[in-house]
Amino acid sequence: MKKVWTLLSVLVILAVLLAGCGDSKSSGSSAGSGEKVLTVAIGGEPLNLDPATGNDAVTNYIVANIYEGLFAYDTVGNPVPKLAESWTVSDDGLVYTFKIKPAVWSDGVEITAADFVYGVKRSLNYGAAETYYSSLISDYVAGAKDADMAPLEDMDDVMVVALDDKTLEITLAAPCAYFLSLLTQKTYFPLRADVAPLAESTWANSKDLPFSGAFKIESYNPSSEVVLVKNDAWRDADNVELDRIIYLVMPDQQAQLMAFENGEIDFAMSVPQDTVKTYDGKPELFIIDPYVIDYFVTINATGDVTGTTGEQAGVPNPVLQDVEIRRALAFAVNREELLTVLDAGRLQYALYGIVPKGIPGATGDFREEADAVEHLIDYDLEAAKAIMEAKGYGPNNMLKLTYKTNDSTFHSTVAQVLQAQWKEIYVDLDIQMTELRVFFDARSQGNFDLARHANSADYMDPMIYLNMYYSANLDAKVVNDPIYDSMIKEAESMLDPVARMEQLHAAEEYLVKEMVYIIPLIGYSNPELLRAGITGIGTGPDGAVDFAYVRLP
Amino acid sequence: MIRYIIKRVLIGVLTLFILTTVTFFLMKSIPGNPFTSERFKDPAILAAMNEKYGLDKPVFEQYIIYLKNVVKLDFGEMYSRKGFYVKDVLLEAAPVTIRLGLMAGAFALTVGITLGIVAALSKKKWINNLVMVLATLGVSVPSFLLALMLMIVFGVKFKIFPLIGLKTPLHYVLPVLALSFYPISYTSRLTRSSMIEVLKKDYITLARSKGLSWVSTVVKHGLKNALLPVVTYAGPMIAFLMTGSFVIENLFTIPGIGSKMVSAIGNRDYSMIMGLTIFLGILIISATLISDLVVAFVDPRVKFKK
Repeated sequence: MKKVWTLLSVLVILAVLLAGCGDSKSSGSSAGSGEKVLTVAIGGEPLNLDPATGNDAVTNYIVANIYEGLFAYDTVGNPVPKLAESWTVSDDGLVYTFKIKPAVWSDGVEITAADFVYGVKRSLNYGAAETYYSSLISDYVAGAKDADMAPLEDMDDVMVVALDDKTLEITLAAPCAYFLSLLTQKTYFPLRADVAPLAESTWANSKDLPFSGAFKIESYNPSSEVVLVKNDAWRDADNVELDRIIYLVMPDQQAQLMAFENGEIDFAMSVPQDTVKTYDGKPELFIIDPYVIDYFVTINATGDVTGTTGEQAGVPNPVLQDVEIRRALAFAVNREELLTVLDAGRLQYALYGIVPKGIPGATGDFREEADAVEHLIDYDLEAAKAIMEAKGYGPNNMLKLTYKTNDSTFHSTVAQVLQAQWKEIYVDLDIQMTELRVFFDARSQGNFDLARHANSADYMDPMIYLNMYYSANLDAKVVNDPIYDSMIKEAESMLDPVARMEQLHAAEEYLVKEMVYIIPLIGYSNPELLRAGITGIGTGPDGAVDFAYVRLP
Repeated sequence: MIRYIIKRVLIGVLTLFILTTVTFFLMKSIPGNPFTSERFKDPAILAAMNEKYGLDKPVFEQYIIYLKNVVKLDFGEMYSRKGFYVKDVLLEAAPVTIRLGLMAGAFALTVGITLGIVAALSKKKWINNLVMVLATLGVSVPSFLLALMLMIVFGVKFKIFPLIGLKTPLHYVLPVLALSFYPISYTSRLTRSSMIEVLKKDYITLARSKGLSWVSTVVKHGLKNALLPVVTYAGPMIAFLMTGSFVIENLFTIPGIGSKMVSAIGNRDYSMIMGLTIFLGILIISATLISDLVVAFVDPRVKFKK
């Protein structure tokens, strides 16, 4: 008996000892001594805080507050100058000359044009194999295409040049109407050659670095928390009130909701969808609006199943090569009914094109411009039925199609609504729900008849959505239409913003209405919770947040 | 004794090897790729990434390369987090989970055994019933539900305990409770039934008839025998607690290995999956070995075969 108790006490002592040797750093949201602290819960582990690579949403929440580029988005997605003081564009739209604001790094050293040159070349050297986002440079800047992963000394042809300390000149390979929007991307941010080595990112997590943003890293622990402190050397530090930001890594949405209600966090950035109902009308509910994301059905319109990722062989289905069948499928979708079933209130809206709300068009919002003319596709059950019956389908001769999606309540609900709605037009939909990565493989390989798709945007231009179906950008060529390709190609080279937007509207109409290569469903946003009385959080339609001008109650 | 331990360690190494091999090939056989994402990537970029990480090589060749590295204790770089090494992540996350698991284990055994004894000895029916109801609840209520209830009641409603992480001793209370509820119930049932069984034995009657007091009969002869099955159960139970619970770690935002495993599989982070598998393998194999040795230490009837 004694032995049993001995063992038990050994266990207890061991546990207590282990508890003692744990991290004893001071606890988070203790806002003692009048210090102004904002505690933010983020929904996943941040990656390295290297502007060249860390481009997922969660990492961006941090990087955007410690580094600054020439431009950043305003609430509706227009690029507004940050480090750029003024700029000129040559008449042919190729040469951009920027004057850089007087500003210093957090260690007092002047931010120069040479830092921008190094930042861009370093991103290129890192290469698209490591960071897909370097293609946002190599696809646009003159001489950058061949510089992907090249050593620095071979980059003399890359046309990003420091004319003097405060003047930067960038020459493009071809005119690009949304180039300022690209400059908000972190691959274009300035970096110091003396601190940021090539092809390596872990340096970026250290606290003793020169920062260009409103805050500096105080500690970085990606599995639990990242702490930022105010950067007193920042160009607009006088208007920054926050002393400290604590980012808590909380992957579980339910946990964030409860910790918010418990008062442990001020800003919960990832909470369950139904929070929009429980917090309806309360001041805490925070929704980024517009938030750019679309949800649509992608159709394998060519039957191509030869994509290179994954091993499952697909079976080409010729039926969907018929544009009339595709049109019938699109006509049969009742978006209002879908929204009712999803029951997410004002988080979601019916989408009638591939480009969601929040992308600037010629004068206002691209989507609103298009919808003001007409919905590219609308619910018309009778027309859909007529098409199907003319093709010989009926209650006794159902068309069998597969719909692929990944397993989550949201996606599964959408799939079931589509299944029910398409049954009305004699389509027997086989829903194949798999785990996320398996689904990605199948979709990029072309191994589907119909599949769900949802995309946010990196740069705020309709092109980001429209060039998805430019055939060279597809792994399996599920859309392979020379007419569409030439429309996109032509839009790429157009400079006049109004004419270019007209061309993009035409391309979208061709994609969605005329050829029905995709069926748009909804656009949506995500709920967040912010302690009542806190103001001044800057947001962008890409979901970015800027805490520089936050005011606590 | 020494020879027995050496033999067990050798078997353990063999088991680990088989575990590594099977996991490696199973993992490679699931469809999915660490580099695919929601956005369509340029096919050329995908190919370049596969080449850089050696994923274009035949699976068997990848396996040999991996084994060579593991022998050198090099578990490689994470696929989903560039610049982070599996070994560092494990060394950071494992102590958190192990510490929590040991605490929950110790708490479960203390409370479970006490409740079991009280139930077995109590003459009052309601005490017995109460313990049994608790025990039945404990084995049937899933831990995520219990954790959520604890969080709502003690975190959100009464604001007694904090809900994020394990910064202070106070932070440990709710996760330890949530983790240990099931083992408490199981241990108390086990103790109770085993105790009742033992008290019916002839040697108890003999001890009583020889004039030994009730208390010392129960403590010296009853408990000692009644706890043997509990000790056998305790080893695997603690090993299980130390491997971490995804649900509890996620809800209480604890950066342990339970939550790492789930995200590693979801991301197809091959090096992390392998590192975790090998690590958990070592943990469970050694916990089982220790628990076998402990049983032999407590129960003189167990002898090591020469």
